[in-house]
Amino acid sequence: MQTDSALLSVRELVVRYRVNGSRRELLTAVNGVSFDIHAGSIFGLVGESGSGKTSLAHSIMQLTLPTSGEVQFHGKNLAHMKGSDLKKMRRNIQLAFQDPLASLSPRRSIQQSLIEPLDHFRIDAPEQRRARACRALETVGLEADVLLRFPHELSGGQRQRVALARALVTEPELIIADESVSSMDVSVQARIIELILNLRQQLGIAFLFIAHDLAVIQQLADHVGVMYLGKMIEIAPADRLFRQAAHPYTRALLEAVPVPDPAHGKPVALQGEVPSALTPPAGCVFHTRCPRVEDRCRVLDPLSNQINESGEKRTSHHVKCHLWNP
Amino acid sequence: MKTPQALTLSRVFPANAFESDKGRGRVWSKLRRDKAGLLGLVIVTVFLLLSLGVLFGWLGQGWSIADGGRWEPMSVNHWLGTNLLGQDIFQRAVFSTRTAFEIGLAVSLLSTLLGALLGALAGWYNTKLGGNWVDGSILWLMGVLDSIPFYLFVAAVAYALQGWPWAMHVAMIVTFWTTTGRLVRAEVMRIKSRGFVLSSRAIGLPVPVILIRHVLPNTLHILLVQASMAFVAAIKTEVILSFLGLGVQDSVSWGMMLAESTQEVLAGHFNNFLTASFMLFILLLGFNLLADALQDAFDPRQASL
Amino acid sequence: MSDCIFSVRNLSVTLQTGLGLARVVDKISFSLQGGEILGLVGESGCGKSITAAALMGLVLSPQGLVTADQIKLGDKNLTQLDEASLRRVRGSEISMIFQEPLTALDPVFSVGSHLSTVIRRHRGENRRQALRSSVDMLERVGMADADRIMQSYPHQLSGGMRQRVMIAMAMACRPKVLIADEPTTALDVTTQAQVLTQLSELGQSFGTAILLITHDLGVVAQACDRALIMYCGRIVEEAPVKALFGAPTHPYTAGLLAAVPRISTGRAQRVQAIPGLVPHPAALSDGCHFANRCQRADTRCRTLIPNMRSVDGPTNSHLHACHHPLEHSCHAD
Repeated sequence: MQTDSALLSVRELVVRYRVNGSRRELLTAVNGVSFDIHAGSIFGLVGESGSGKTSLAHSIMQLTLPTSGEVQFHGKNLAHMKGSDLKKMRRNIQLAFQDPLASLSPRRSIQQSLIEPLDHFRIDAPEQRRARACRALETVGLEADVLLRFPHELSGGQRQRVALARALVTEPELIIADESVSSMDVSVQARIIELILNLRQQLGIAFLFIAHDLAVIQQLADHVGVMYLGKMIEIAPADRLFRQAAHPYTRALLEAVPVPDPAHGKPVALQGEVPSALTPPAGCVFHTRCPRVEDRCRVLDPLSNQINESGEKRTSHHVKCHLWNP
Repeated sequence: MKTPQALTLSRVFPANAFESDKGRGRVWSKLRRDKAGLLGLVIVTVFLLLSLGVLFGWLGQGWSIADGGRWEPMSVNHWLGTNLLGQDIFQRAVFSTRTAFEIGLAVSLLSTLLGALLGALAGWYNTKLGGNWVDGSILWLMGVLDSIPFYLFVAAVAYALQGWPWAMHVAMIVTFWTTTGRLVRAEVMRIKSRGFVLSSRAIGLPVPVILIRHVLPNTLHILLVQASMAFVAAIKTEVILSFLGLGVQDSVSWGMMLAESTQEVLAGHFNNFLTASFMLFILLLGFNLLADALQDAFDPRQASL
Repeated sequence: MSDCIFSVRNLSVTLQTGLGLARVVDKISFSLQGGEILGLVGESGCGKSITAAALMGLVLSPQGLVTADQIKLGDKNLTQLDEASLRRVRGSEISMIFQEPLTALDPVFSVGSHLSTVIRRHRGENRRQALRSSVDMLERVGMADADRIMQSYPHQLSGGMRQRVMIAMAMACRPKVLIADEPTTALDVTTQAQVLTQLSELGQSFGTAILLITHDLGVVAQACDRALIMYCGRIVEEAPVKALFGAPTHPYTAGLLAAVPRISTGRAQRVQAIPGLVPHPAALSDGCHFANRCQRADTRCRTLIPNMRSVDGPTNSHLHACHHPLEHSCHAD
């Protein structure tokens, strides 16, 4: 594998659902999203509920088939993969849900949950699989006695680790971590953040980390993509995004995060609500709430502009906003 | 004011928020604490032993021998007296236990199995934003079966399979599964979007494996309740069908005893009627108690606290 | 404090758990003044939500046992009222909003009928007046097209709008106290900012004291005047937010603050986790419950329960329960 080519590239991905069966209403959950994830890097995907981040994750995993566009893993289109290629890909991309209650089968022991992917991919001899499961648990900082427990016997933090261990056990190259909206305690969250950073450093695993909390994303990500109503409206290296966010929505998001410092002053609230994805606004999807809206925003959908001079793709900063249109 | 009055503890105080909240051997330990459930278990066990005794030929073998006079009262030879034909009521009642279990088990197991499989398939192939032909046809089948008047349907099956001793069983299985199927379908639609199902899809497990390993075990609480309800319903239905003459053949059941007793009650002889009703009542009561207790014990959401 | 309208003294809640009886709330005391927002902060399982339920009288006796020396609302002592009088107090003088408003709104009734029912019941207005007051309340929580919202059903509204409807319902009778249990946790950040602003504005103008229960220290910094930090059923620190964030004295508070990720324009400062796990409430040790995770703990901490003590002398606004508090050379106040 060449170092400069992307591990996962998503190109102009569109995911549409039919709503209400026979009626011809289409919901566009993901609308022309493109980005790359490089080996061993963490890509943070931010967006509010309904922005399409989970649909994007599911269509990357081919759990819902993309309507158009493609997903390439090591340069090969996932949709055309068959047989052993497909199996190899599935071994190398794993899903980890951070919703602790939903991510583990309630009637199966942790051992059963961890060994299942090993059985399926025929990794190791059957008698060595338990040892490998133990090692995965150790990696996430759990004792082997967890193996015989059931999910309901674990604490929230332990379940989170087990979910990560299950994703790790096949030694994937990419883990897609879909955060739940539900709250996680800061002390637990801090340890999961530490753990993910270690995994990346020691095992070179790349992550697609989906979250709604920009502060968490900043702790982890090398690159950040911001989604709004199915569109990737800004994409940039993390340090650049947090230093000089270009899109008014990204700025609003950054300002809305409550800062744990009373001296900081009240965050500026964005007006209005996210419009329905069934009837997205014409022109720029954000124009209904944008503080800097202009006439052309209401009719013209902005194209993606690269706004820094960097020649290298990995450090380029793209934004979909008329303000940055020359 | 519509303040939610019932703020359950699980809501304000999520289970498992702590270091370890163990719930080992919970099914049995919960059942053991449930006195009504234990009573149900004892009753069902006694009846089960009776029916096994009949099956192995130790009990009730003289059910068809008419060695007494008509309507003999209780005596040492005939503990509960005799019927119109001079047959021993006690023997007949005991033998009927086997009939009841045979019908109850066959119908409840097979109808639940059928409902689970078809319901799971329908729920799995129901895309949340539109139908699929698998889901559509299974739903259509349920609709058709549910719209035929039950006794008419049973009569039709019984006549169609004239003389075949399993006609009644088939009729019940074919009609009973729809309720289970609908419940399982709804539950599967809920379960399939949960993380553990998605991640087993993501590693590429085949659909039957996902359904059997990950989805159906999580509908166990529904299946258990439905199976126990089907068991009770099957026995009750058998009584009515036998009463109508569509029931068991070449055998005896509580329903047939009740059918016989209509003439006897008119003549003032209640032994047959009371015995059959009593056996039926106690078994159904025991089964209902047990089913309730099992439902509580198996529900994973009540695992702790 | 003279204009204190809600005061709780030594509230305890004991629950039956899988491991036996557990005292999940252990003798907590606090008081609220009109128009003030008091944050009750802690991690899941620390007893903050059960405290809210206990204050509303929603913990029922077979499940849990609630005791308190005093729960005083205005001039009424709630511990001495019977169920019928408590019901009258609930909703009119003390009300509550929840994390997920969809579960608290009945799907078959429109927003207008929810609101007007509450107003007619507690304010004794007639139908027409109640409808007008409902529209007024919706406008006060920042709903522009209140007339349309009145006709809508809960499922037709977004999460943020539902929560605002809940706030309108809870505040319709101008209660003395509002208990808000994680009101913005299920909302997106941009909506959260709106809802918090409206909540505090409404509290100010009605003179309602708000007990804001949350796990999010960012929310506390943004919305609260004072805050209580709760750990394992006990209050470990009480302070005005400025002092709490500027000069936390309890090691647990300091640990929590270090674990919160903050957005910075430069390189992100790494979050620090608190070592160890929250103990099960049925298996708590003697002494300070935080001792086994605390780097400053000694034998005294493991045996002796620390009492609440004032940090800032006679003003009594900053209190902590710690044998070895963190020192700050220049105190914020």
